This record gives sequence, C-alpha cells and structure tokens, in this order.
Amino acid sequence: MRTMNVDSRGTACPGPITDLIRAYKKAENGDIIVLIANDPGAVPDSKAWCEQTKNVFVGSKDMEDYFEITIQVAGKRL
Amino acid sequence: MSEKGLAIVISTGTEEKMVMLGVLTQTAVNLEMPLRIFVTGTALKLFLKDGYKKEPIPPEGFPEFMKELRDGLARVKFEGWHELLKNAVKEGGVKVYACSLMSSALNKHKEDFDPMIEDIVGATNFMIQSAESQIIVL
Repeated sequence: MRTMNVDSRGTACPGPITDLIRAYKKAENGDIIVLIANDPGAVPDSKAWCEQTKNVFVGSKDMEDYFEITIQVAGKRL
Repeated sequence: MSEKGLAIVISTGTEEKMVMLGVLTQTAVNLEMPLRIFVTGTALKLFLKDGYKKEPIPPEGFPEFMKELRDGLARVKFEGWHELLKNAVKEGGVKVYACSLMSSALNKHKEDFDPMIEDIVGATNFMIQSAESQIIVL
C-alpha cells in the first residue's frame, strides 16, 4: 500500500477530479490518494466519484486555504 | 463505469457555452461515459478548420462579466474548450458530429472541418445513436 499525493491547487472544475483520476489510473487497490484542492466543488465531486466507482471516501479536511481529501482505492477490477 | 451515455447538442457558440461544453466533455471522460456531441447553429463555425482560433463570441449584454470570467478562467488554468475536446476525442469515448443541414446550407464538407469532427450526420442518425442517452442542449 502506498500514499499518492495530488496537488490540484489553482485548478478548478473539473481539474481536481481529472488529476485524481490520473493518479487513480496508476494506483492499486489499497493505495491512498490524498488530493489537495481549493476548488469548492472538489469535496462533493470526489465523494460522488467514490460512490460511483466503489472507491472509499475516507474523509476531507478544510484547511482554510484548501481542502485535503483522502481516498482509499478499492474500485479497481482485479 | 456508467453504461448510460450522454449526448450534447451545442447550437450557440458563445464563449460561456463553449466553456461549459469543455467542462462537460472532460467530466464525461473522467466518468468513462460515452459522449456524442452534435454541433449545429452558430457553434458550427467554431468547428471549421482553425475556427477555434478566431475571436471568441461573447454573449450579448455581458462584456464586463465576460472579461472578468476570461481573466478568472486563466487564473484557474482552464485549458480551453478546444484543447479539452481534442484530448477527449483522442482518448476515445467521445465523438463529435457536425449537423448535415447546417453544413449543406453553408456548403461545408468534411474536409472543411476541424479534424476532431468524426462525420457530418443528420438529426436521425444523431437521435438513433443517442436514444439511450441523456441529452443536454447548450
């Protein structure tokens, strides 16, 4: 299991999700992706994407200047 | 992922609608949703060869707003609708079609269009292809 950090600060919809999915394509089940973004849609969009793709939305933190979103990869087809 | 596709009809090529088209297209790629785009009306001229390089068409009545929006989009590194569509077509799953009525009326042929245009098709072809899809009209 590894942790992948994705910095999408400065981009807006759909930039953070595009960056998240780019990282996801390189990830394996069990990996953690930490996405940081300041677009206000990044948290609800990440949640919806996790539900849709059967990945785990671990949580999000509001860090004032940006959001830190943690996802556990679980939706990769074996 | 989603088996259900999406279809977008873009008929007005004003700047803010082209931004929306770019955003929806990239989102469809992200969600692995098959997407068909049907280009008609005034949007057609933007899909002619090098049409995207011409001055954008601002929506009437919003000159100041559009300037602010344009600056803001540059700040948030918006890639531009043409770049987003071009990459989406390259990645697969997205097909862009030009309206045959408008193409005939303007005497435009396949070779007159941007290479991203898959084909010139009529409404029947588009509707049959999109029968199972959710359709968004911009």
